[in-house]
Amino acid sequence: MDLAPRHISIEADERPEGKPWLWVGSAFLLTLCVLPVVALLLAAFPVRPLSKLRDPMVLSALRLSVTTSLTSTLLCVAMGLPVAYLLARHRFAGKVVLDTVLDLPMALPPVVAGVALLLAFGRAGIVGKHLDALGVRIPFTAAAVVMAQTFMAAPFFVRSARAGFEAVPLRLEHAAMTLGAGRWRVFWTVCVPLASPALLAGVVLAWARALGEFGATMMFAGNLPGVTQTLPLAVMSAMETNLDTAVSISVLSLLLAFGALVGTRLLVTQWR
Amino acid sequence: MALDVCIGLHRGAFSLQAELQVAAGEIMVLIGPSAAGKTTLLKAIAGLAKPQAGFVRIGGQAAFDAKRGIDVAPWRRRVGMVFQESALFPHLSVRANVMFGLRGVPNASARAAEWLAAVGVAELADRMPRELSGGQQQRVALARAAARDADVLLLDEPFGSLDPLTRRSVRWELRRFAQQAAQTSGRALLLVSHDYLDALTLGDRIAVLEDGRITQVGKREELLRQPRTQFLADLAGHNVLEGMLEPARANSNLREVRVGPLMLQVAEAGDEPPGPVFVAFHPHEVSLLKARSLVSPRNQFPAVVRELVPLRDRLRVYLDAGVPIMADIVREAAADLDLRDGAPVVAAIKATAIEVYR
Repeated sequence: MDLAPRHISIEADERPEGKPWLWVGSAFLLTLCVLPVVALLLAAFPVRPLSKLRDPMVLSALRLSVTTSLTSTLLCVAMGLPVAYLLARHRFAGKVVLDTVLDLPMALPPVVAGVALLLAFGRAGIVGKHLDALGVRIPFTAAAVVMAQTFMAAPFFVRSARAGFEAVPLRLEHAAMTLGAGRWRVFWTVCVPLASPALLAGVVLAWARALGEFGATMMFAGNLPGVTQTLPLAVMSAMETNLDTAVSISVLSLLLAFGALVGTRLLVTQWR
Repeated sequence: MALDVCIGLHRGAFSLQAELQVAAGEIMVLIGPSAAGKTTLLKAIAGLAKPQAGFVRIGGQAAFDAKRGIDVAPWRRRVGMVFQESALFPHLSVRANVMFGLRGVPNASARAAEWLAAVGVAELADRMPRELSGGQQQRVALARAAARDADVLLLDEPFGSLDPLTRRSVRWELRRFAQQAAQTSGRALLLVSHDYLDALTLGDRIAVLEDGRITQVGKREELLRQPRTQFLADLAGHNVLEGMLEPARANSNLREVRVGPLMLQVAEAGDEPPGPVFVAFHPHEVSLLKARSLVSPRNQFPAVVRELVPLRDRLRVYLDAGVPIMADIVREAAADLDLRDGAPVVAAIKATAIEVYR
């Protein structure tokens, strides 16, 4: 008659303790991910290369990277919020198409994305030639950097935000409406606060992607020091002349990314 | 304000064709089996579901009218709703939840406190919803819906997800709340339930919704006297008697209700003030004995058999115990007891089997 509880306790004892091959697999992946980071830090350890951070080329790349990546993250949020909500809450014709198209930048090689951007907004591009006639030139400007970054980073924000909105129970929106809140107020006072951990995660992912963007920027914006040369491009240029500079920029990027991840994690845990 | 609904709503194989009027200040209980369309009907009234045909009028004003192309947004309808599952905003405190619907209302904070007190959770105002029990959350949801000056209040089984024991204890409060909410500025109040006792105890009138159709509307007594469907017949198969709740006695959890010549001991009246009440119990809760027994239930009284009606698997015995009482027994028991018209028996019922309501 007390079979049931005993049965449950057996189940509890059988919780996986970790099969050896699971650990082996994990160890390989961990080595692959951690070793290069350690190597990078070791290379930077004699502090000497860090002095290269005062190099004007490094400073301008840093400034450009920070401003463009923040701008493109803002654009991702501004344009991504309505799209994410639309995908999470509404059924409409062509939803699958929109969904797939939005994921495309994640699967596309960034260099190809850069070529595509050129064909659209370049001086001879389908939109670009009309802009050119108006005197507006996008390629090889900071605006092109922002566009390339936004193109590559937006799906990361939209994915995360959509999942966040989907997790908000519909009845909470309904309840808010019966309490006199219109769609705008429901969105900002119910949906956004409740989805905020996912939104924040999306912001960080998008920002990290924008910060690391290389291929599309290279093709669409070029590698002009002081104008379109972001940190990743500066690393590549530096590799050809001065390894120390390349290492110091890399460490800087690593710290930026790591700081963002830790900061977000702290914020989210505090929230809960 | 009065509510006047006549809608047709079709979604796949499901079809809802309902017509319903609730007067200002009236409490109507909408009862019916699950999946009959009760929640959908409420959503259509609140504007959260869109019917294909018909109208919804609140205080004579069209909130929805298919012919005239009127479909007022939910946030402009002045219809309050309490949902089956907790729909409190998890990121807002209890007080902020209630005040969500009071934007731009002067003395919003005082009004929120007033309604939180009315549902007995005044001291929880600064808590977060996740710190509350299921019952407390739904009380807050009631306060939140009522604090707003809505013209119509819709309650969708507000305590349906609670365990039966808790449900019993909140039924009294729900009735008091419903009366207060309905009387405040003459709101129409529509309460959904699938529980017959809610219907019997809470509403001025009862509407029965079965399979997307309103099958019967009327006062409790009318419905019980002439049930038109099987669902209602089951509902009507309950003993419902008028009585008088006696004052509570010290050192006893049991209360007494005088019903005609009988004095019934009941377990479910708490510390309600004495006065006129109804008692209800199912016929299968009544057992029949040849003579008084020392070990059997607290309530035992002599009765005379008036009629025997065979049901599918059992026998319904109509008794006269000074008041009419129905008992369901198995056929074998009928033979053992030698039941005939006019035979004397002892009827017995446990104190815990009797529901009491006002």
